[in-house]
Formats: sequence, C-alpha cells, structure tokens
Amino acid sequence: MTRNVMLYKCATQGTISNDLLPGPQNLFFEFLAERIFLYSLIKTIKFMRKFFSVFFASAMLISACNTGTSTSNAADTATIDVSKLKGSTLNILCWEGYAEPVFTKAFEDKYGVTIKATYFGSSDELISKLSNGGSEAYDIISPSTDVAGDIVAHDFVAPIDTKMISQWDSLSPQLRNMNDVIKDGKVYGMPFTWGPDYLIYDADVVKTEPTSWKVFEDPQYKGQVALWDDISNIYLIGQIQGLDKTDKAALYNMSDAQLQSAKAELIKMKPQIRKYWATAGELDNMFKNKELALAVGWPLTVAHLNKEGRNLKAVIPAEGATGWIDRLMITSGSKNKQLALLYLDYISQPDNMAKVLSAINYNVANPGSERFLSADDKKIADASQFFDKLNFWQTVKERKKYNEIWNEVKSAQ
Amino acid sequence: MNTTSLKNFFVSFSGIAVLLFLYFPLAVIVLFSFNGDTVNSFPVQHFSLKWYSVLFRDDELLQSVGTSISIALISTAVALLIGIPAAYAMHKYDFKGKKLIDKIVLMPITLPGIVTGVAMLSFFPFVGVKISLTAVTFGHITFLCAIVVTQMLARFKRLDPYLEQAAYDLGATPSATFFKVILPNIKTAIIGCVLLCLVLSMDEIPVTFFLIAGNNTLPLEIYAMMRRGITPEVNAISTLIFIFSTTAILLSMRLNKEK
Amino acid sequence: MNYHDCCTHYHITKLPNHQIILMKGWLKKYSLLLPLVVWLFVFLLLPYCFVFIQSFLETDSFGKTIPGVSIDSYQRAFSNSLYIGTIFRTLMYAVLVAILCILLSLPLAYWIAFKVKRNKTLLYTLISLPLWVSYIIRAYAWKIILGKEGLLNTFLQWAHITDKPVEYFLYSTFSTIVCLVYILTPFVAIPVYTAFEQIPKSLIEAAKDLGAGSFTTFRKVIFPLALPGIISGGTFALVLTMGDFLSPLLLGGPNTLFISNIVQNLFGTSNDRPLGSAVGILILLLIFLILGIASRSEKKYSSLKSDTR
Repeated sequence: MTRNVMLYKCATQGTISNDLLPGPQNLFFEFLAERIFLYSLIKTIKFMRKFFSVFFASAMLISACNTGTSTSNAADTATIDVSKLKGSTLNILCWEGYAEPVFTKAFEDKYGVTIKATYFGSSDELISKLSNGGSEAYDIISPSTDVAGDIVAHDFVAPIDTKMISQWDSLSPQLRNMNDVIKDGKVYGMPFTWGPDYLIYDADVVKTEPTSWKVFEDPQYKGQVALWDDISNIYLIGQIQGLDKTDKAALYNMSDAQLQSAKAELIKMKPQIRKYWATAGELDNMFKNKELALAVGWPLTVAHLNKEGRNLKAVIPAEGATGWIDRLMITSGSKNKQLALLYLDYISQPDNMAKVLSAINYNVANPGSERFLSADDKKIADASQFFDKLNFWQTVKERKKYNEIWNEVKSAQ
Repeated sequence: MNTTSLKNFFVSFSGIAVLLFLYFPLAVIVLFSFNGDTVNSFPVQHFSLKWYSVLFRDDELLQSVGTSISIALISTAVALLIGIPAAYAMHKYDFKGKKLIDKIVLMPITLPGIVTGVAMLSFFPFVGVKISLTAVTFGHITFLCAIVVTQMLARFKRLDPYLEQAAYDLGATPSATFFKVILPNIKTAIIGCVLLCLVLSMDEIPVTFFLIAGNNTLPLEIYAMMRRGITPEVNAISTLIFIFSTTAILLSMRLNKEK
Repeated sequence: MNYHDCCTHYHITKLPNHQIILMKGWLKKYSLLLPLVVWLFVFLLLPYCFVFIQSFLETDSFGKTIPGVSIDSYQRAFSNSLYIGTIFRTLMYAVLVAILCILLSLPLAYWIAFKVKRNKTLLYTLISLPLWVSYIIRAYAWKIILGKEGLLNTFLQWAHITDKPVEYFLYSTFSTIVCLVYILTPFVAIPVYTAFEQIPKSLIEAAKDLGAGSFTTFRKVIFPLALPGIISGGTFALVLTMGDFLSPLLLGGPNTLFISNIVQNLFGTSNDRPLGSAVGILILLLIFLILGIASRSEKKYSSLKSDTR
C-alpha cells in the first residue's frame, strides 16, 4: 500500500516537499485518523438527529398543553405514554372514504398527530403495495374479506390487543368472531365497515327502478354504464348466471369453462360500457359530469353525490349482489403501533362510527352507533337486514387466473 | 391573388393552425382555472379565484410541492457532481468504451420511462433500498445524469480550445485550469442545465410512479387527485405549473445562448 | 524532492517516464469518469439485468419468489394472445401516432424554416415550450375538451353539426390517440425543423432557378434531404407511444389497453413480476429493433446529403 500511495501522490503533485514526506508509520496514522474522524462525524450526525426530534417533540408537548384537552370516552390509555406520540404521522392505507377529516380531525387534534391516508382502488393493489414494502411504510390497512385471511397468514400484520379497545365487546358479535383474522388465538383485525357492491342509477335518467343486473345490457343505456376495473365483475356475471344459488363460494372457485363463459359475457357487454372506473372518486366524477346512467358501485358514491343535490338511487337486483366486510389491521412493520391502537380504539367509539356511516353511508360494526344517527342514516343502518342477502367476498385461490381473464376482457376489441 | 401568394397563405395558415393546436389545451386549462363551478362544462358560467385559494389551503398538495422541489434539488446537485466531471473527461480524452458509455448514459431517455421504472422497482428491494423517496431520488439522478452529460458535452464542444492551452502554457495545473478557467466560462450553461434538470425532475412521472410510497411528488399528487375525482383545483395548480415551467425554460434558453 | 529521489529514498523501482505521463492522465481520466460509471452500473445496468433474470423466475400470488428457473412467463407471454396481440396493436397505434405527428410537424416546421423571416428563434421556442409543461396537465386538458359537456361537444351542438353529445370523444382510443399526438408533436417538430434549417439555401435556389415549383422543390429537394430528421422524430414518437401508460389510463376507454398498461398492471395490481418482466423484455427487444431500423435508414437517407455537397 505504501508504494502505491507514494506513487499516486507523486503522480498528482509532481513533487513532494521534504517535510511532507511521510514515513511508513505516518501513513498508517493518517489512515487511522481519517477513520476515526469519519466515524465520529457519523455518530454526531445521528445524535443531532435524535436530539432534534426529542427537542421538537417536547416543544410540541409544551405548546399542546396550552391548547387544552378534550374529553372523550376513550379506552384507558394509562399504559400508553401519550406525550411520546405527539408529532408523529399515522399512515393509513385504505379504501376511499375511510380517512375523511370529518371523523379523523378530532383524533389528530386530541393527540397532536397527523393522519396521512393513501388510497387503493382494489384488493390486488393493496396486496401489491404490501408486498413492496408497504408493511413498513404504512401503519393501518383496511383489507376486505377476500384477502384478509391471506394477509394474516403471510405475517403482514401484527396481533391486536383487544383489551386496549374499550368498545371491543360492543362490536357486532358476528363480525367480531370471523375466524379468517384469528390465528393461534390472537386477533389480527378489528371489524370496521361492511357494504354491498350494488347497482347505482341516476334516477333522473333511469325513471323506473331496475330489477335485474341485465339492465346493463339494455340498448337504451349504451355507453352510459360503468363497471369497476376489478375481477369482481367475474363474480357479477357468475351471480347473473345463478352460480351461487346453492353454494356462495362457487363465485370464487369458478372452473375454466365457467371463467371462459363469464369472459364471453363481459366482452359482449363491452359496447355498453363508458369506462371501467378505477377509484370511487372517478365514479363520483363521471356521475357528476352526467356521463353515466347506471353503474356498479359503493354507497360512498350515492352519499357524496346526493349531498351535492343529485338524485342517485341504488338497488340490490334480484340476482343478488356481492358484498365486503372490511377490517382495520395494524401492519407488522409499523413504527407507530401504539398510536395505531389508539386510533382503532377511537374509531370504534359509537359516536365516531356514526360519523363514518353518515359520511360514506357504509354500515358500521358498532351497533351502539345507532343512537347517534339521524333519521335518514338510521334507514341505512336498518338495511343491515340485507346482510344475509349479500354474497361476501371470499379468498380466490386462482386469483392470477381471474386477473388474466379480466385483462383479456379489457384487451378484447 | 396569384398562386404563389395563395400557396404562401396556405403554408402560413397551416403552420399557425398547428401552433395554435399546441397551445389551445393550455389556454383551456388557464380559462377553466377561473371557473367558479365544480363541473368543467362550457361556457363558463361565472369566474372566480376560488380554486386558487382552495389550492393554497390544500396541505397535501403543498406538501407534495415541497417533496418535488427537494427531490429535484438533491437530484440535480448529485447529477451535476457526477455528470460534469464525466462530460469533461469524455470531451478531453479518448478511450476505449467511450461510445459505449455514450449510449448507456442515454438509455434512460431513449427507452420509455416505464422500462427504467420497473427495472428499478425489481432491483431495489433486492439490494435493500426501500421503495420510498430515496428510491425516487436515485431514479431521478440516473436520468438527470444523461441530461447533464449531453448538455455539458455540447457546451464543452463549443468552448474555445485555446483557453485551456493558454492556461497550461501559463503553468496552471489541470485542476486549477478546470476550476479557474473552464468553470467560469461554462457558468451560464451550468445554470441553464440546472434549470432544465429542475423542471424535468419535477415533471418526472413514469419512474416516480413505480418507486413511490407514502409521500407523493407533485405530478403524482395531481394524478391521485384526478383518480379521486377532485378536479377543479387541478386547473389552478396546472396554470401555476405552466407559468413556472415556462419562466424556467425561457431563462434556461437565454442563458444557454450566451458564450 | 521529486519522483526520482523519492523512489531512491524508499528503494522503490522507478517507472519509465512515458509510463508516468500515461498514469497521470489515466488517473485523471478515470477518477473523473468513475462516479458516472459506477452510478450507471449500479442504478442502470444492474436493474436492467435484474429484470432479465426476473423474467425467468416464478412468484406466488403474494410476490414471494419460488426458487427455480422457469420459462413459464415466456410461455404464457407467447401462448396467450393477450400479450402478443396487445404488443402488435400498440405498435399499430404507435405508427399511427408517429405518422400523425409528422403530418402536423411538416407544415409547422416548413413555415418557420422557410416562410418566416423574423422571430425565428421565438417561434422555435414556442414549439418547444409545451414540452416543459407537465405531461399530466396536458393530458388532463383533453378531459375537459372532449367530455360529454366539454368544449368540443358544446361547439358541435352549437354549430348544429350534431344534436346530442358524442360520447365516443372521451374515454376511447380516439381520445388516447389525440392526446398522444398532441403531446408528441413538439418532440417530432423539433428534429424536423432542425433538418429543414440545415438544408443549404443554395440548393433550394438552384431548384427554383431550374424552374421547379414550390411543391416540386419540396418533393424532390427538401423532403429527401430532411428525411433523416423526419425519421428520427418519427421514431421518437413511436418509441414513446410504445412505452406510454398514462394517456390510456387517464383518457382511455374499456377497449383501450396498451401494452404498457398491461406491464404496469402486472407490476402493480396483478403482482406478477416475472410475467411483467418477460413482457417488458419483449417490448425492449421490439424497441431496440425499431431503433436499429431507424438509425440504419437515417444513415441510408443521409447519404443523399453528402452526395449533393
């Protein structure tokens, strides 16, 4: 090493003056000194970072003390040191509508945190995001019944300490005890909402209430129909063909022949379709711009548009509809598990669940929320009688094949 | 009218028509950014600055602007540090593999962004780089290097070769030559290049699309807003971006022209 | 103390003089290039190689790699008409977009290069300016123009050309193509204009002196000489369309599915990376083929230029 260093120095400087001529030992010390310097530099930087974050956290705590506190019937949080959580950001990866400020703002104010929501438009997108580092980037996710079991099985989520959720025993027993999220006696998901994928129609354009999904094929609505860009359309055709009359699971385990038949039906329906919507917001926008008469959608769209004075209605046709039950889960790689637990406890309170129902018209998991609902909203909560009519999504073993069939439908000319 | 002037008129007309076609949609956006309604229908019923005020109160959008700017600044700085010496070396020296490096450096721009994006998406987790803003920054630096190298090479070619010779004759070492003689002369080109890189980084979509998680950059935030259906503010932010990009590029072109 | 004394002091063998000079330059050269080479190797070449390797792997539905090499992805890519069919369909659309862009660029470039006397640079700047406005904004503008209650429909109804809104304008292949042509025309106009500008004026004058009308001059002199530039611009538009997934996503309808959307889907919602990599490699090969053909024809047609000098 000595010779090469020497030669390099000679080559770049042309000459070396006498005093600067290093002996072999000096070079070694030079090397060591450099290493020590770099090491201490890195350590200092790390310390400074920690110092500043603690500094800011305590600064926020001091300022928060002056803004006063609000009361709420939250769970006993004596075991969680709330002051340490101030200033953190809770990252939620969820369906649209699950992080509306109308019910998240109070949580943000109470604990001095920020809630940042990222939305996905389909269960496949959720899986993809989770597989690509999502279990560290996000703290809370809201999977539906079709993927919840797989997510638990693949260790993407952490167990929930139900004792920390004060309302746990008040949640609907039927939803609470769904065993796809229970592994080794531990619970991994807290029920949040459920609802249908039903038929939405613009009552100003479609004057009589449709009774069957086949209205999508009615020529007078050509180019005014929208379907979701998702494999659930295959379930839809399966329902129209009556595959699930005896066995609900038949929709999720279709044979190759049944898949090809569903594909043919969907291709036949293509001329009727305006667009395959990717997110609920896109569907909202299309109804808003009067581009549609009929669509498959969620209660969210009806809630949003009717609040703006439009006249959207929805119905579950004779063949039935599929539905979903969404649980809130805490990711295994989350760095804010305690804050996430506090959020779960907060959102399961009956008054907050009532706010959720009122904002997006989804049915919620806490029956106690009924006493907080307006008369209109009570009608939606009452519709829980159709809980038994819905065919809730189940895990699809051949999901890749369903996705390929759907891509083939989309590319068919 | 004789045939020559008729032909001239026809040519001018079609030329201007295409030019107007290029600017028409931009004019539409600027017009609709002042539209008071939430629905983008024509004619505009009433004008207001409502969306601009909504824009400035939208925290997520402002945060994405900040994210975009910081990524752009960091990527540009690193790309300059890597690219300028490399461009200098490629200009001065001849060596084996020069053509190869030339072609490879240009790959992020010749190939569609989606290829680079999915390549990085596949590779990064394998080496432990999490899909996050760090990954996005790496992606931006990679394609900005291409821009810096090509722009700087072009500038070095236009540089007076006698400047360097004169410096050597006067006894300056190569590094002194570079810092004291060459660098000041290409200063304006560097600034122009910086502006170009900033604008390109802020508008980078395909590579960023695949490498993003959590915080969005500005174009992806606009894309997310369009997906969610919240559209009227998009007109306002688009107008502002249009003004910003135009100013930056006009400045860059002015600076690049100077010797 | 210089290099020679230094070496004697340390009993190191001297290197001959010419080798020292070479090493000086060698070190300088490579230390300047090193950051770029390292960066490109790590962040460009390795990822591309990785995609290639990934296309020979298999994953389960949660994205975990199943150990073992397999050509399953390539088999699926070739056997299912979805992938090959979409690649060719996208190629057709790309050619269409390239041709339309060229058709739009020719009058514009011709006008600025030959008919405009003053303000040439200003107009040239005006062509390139839209390029710098964000892609997503330029695409979004067409949503406003082509919608059911948008500008085009309102205009057509006002002019009594149609009596109700034409839905086909938006969310269809038509809107995607329009948007792509709009976005890519500046990319094509710039090389075409540069090519026109580089034609020596003396040639055009000579043609006129020989009695050619302006159209004949264009057909026999200008167009052949500018052909390399036109091909270069057209290729640019072609390659960019092949790789574009945003326009179909924002403005496309149920029938619009470009190959990049499929790749995007495979890397995203479908979470099938090996298949996505395989399709990606196929697209890459096709693009290299196109670029190779383009550069060869550019060279072939540019020989005209050297002949006339």
